[in-house]
Amino acid sequence: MTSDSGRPVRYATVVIIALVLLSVLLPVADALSALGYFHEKTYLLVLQDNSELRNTGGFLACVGTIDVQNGEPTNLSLHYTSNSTYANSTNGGIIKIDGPQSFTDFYGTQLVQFRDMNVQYDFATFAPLCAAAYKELTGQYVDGVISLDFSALQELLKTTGPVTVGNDVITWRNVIDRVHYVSATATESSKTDLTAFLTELGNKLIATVQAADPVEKLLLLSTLQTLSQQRHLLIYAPGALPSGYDGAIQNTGGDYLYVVDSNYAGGKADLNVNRTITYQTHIEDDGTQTSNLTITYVNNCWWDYKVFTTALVPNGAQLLDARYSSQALGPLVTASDGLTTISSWVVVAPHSAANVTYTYTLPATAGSAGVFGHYDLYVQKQAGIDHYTLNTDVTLPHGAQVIHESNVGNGTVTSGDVQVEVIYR
Amino acid sequence: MKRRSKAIGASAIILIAVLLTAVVLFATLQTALTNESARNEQNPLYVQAQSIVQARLRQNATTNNLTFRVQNVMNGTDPNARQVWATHATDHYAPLNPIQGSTYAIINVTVASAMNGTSPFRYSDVVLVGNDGRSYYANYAEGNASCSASLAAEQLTPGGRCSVYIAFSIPDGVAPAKVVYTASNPTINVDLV
Repeated sequence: MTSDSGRPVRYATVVIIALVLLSVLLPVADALSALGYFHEKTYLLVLQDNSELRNTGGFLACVGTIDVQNGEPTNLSLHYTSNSTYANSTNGGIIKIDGPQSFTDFYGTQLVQFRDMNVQYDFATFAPLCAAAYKELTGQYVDGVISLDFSALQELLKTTGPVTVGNDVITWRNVIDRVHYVSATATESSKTDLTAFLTELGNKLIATVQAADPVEKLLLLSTLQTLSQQRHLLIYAPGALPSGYDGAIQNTGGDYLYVVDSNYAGGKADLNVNRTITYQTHIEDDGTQTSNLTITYVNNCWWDYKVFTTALVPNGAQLLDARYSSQALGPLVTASDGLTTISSWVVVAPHSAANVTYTYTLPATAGSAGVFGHYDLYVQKQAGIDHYTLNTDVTLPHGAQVIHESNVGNGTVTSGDVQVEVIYR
Repeated sequence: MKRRSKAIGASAIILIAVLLTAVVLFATLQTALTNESARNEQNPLYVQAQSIVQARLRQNATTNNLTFRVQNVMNGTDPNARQVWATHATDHYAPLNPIQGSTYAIINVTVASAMNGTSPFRYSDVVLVGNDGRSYYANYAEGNASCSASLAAEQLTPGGRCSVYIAFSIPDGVAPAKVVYTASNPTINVDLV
């Protein structure tokens, strides 16, 4: 027998337990729904060739659909992204894009081919536009968009071991070259040789995974998680997954740097181009900053590497100077996603290095907590890039002393985002 | 009070035992995953066919409709290999920049149709065996224009002859030991060392 005064406590406890259960069960239900447990889901599958880097990871080598029912992928269907593929197209597969302004201003157009439409700075922005364009071109509705790049294909093959496609043994060592070879030697404009090869490869990988033992499945899960963190695997499934899988811009306040490169007409070069980002910032006594950003490219190919590079930095940045060590066009300063963007087109000669350096001022990004100052820099890695080298240097206001710092210094080779932090007083 | 202390002690022991078991299980799982990953990452061991035609470097071997000769073996960094790619590559797909920890071995093979009819030939049927005993599968092939056409068509025209350069990605420290043409019966084994 409990007293009436205890009732509110009991009700509150029941409500809290219900809320906790709901908060646990809703994501589970969303995930189950995304895996097609309630009804079949169809995803747009985008294969991005990151040896030809584009903003969201790579050239759109192939697109297609895959159904997922009760957690099992089925009906993989791929096609090449040439304009002639799309029966519903009334305008030759040309897509009108609204931005980003850096692209539309620099190239002077809002019209792009479907296969070149991934000009947005992140996959989270691109994916719904791509799904809409795909529906317009093919009439097919999709529940979400999944992107894999060629590095992901390599890693998946490392996990599964070799598979046989046709009579050929495909391993992680030869998969990218084989895909390029099949694409280069395809005789038809719709490249059915390529799509047949990739479809069989995809189906073999799926079959291998389905037949895998629990240890192999765990290994695969671990690989997928890593690929997702490194943005070689991107998933846009609204409401079904927690954030972080869709490659969205991670501007959380504080200082921010996101270098996004696109290789137009530079060939399949990017797996042989090394990038170094050197960022030096000077926090003035009034909290404002003066920053130097140098992006260095080392081109290990025997042809010119041509890159349209955009640095996304905090809103309010004022560009003071831009310097180039090689043939270049720019700079072009625009705004997007609440950020300032600085773009240039740079040519890197064969077997040589080239760099672009921007000097800009920033409004105060460092915060303070009591007597301590707190500087945060988030460096976001572009999807499709395997790794890059990061050098950072932070100069504090006069008289300030470092209490704690992390990821400040030179030579950090990383395949993911980097959070730089300095606490000072 | 004493009973309570005993209960706490027992609970602590059980908790420690559970934690230790979890740590051991986790370490075992981690080892299993690492071993599995390392195993799958490696190329398969080469198993020699029962029926083979043996040849040496720069020696013809003929089987079925095809004469096969390994003319040369180069490292991808060899200027001669680069010259081949610069001469024959028709686009920017060629792979002479290897992935980290690997190198390209380029083998120059001459294949000729030994009979009047067409002979099937696929560069991907050529397998490189490393001195680690593992099979490496072709990445890419180049040749002159007519040879590239033959490669794309996967056959040699009657009397056709083709000098093809085939690139294989092999780990640093592994040397090419053998080239095997696997599509013929008997298979052709060319010893490189």
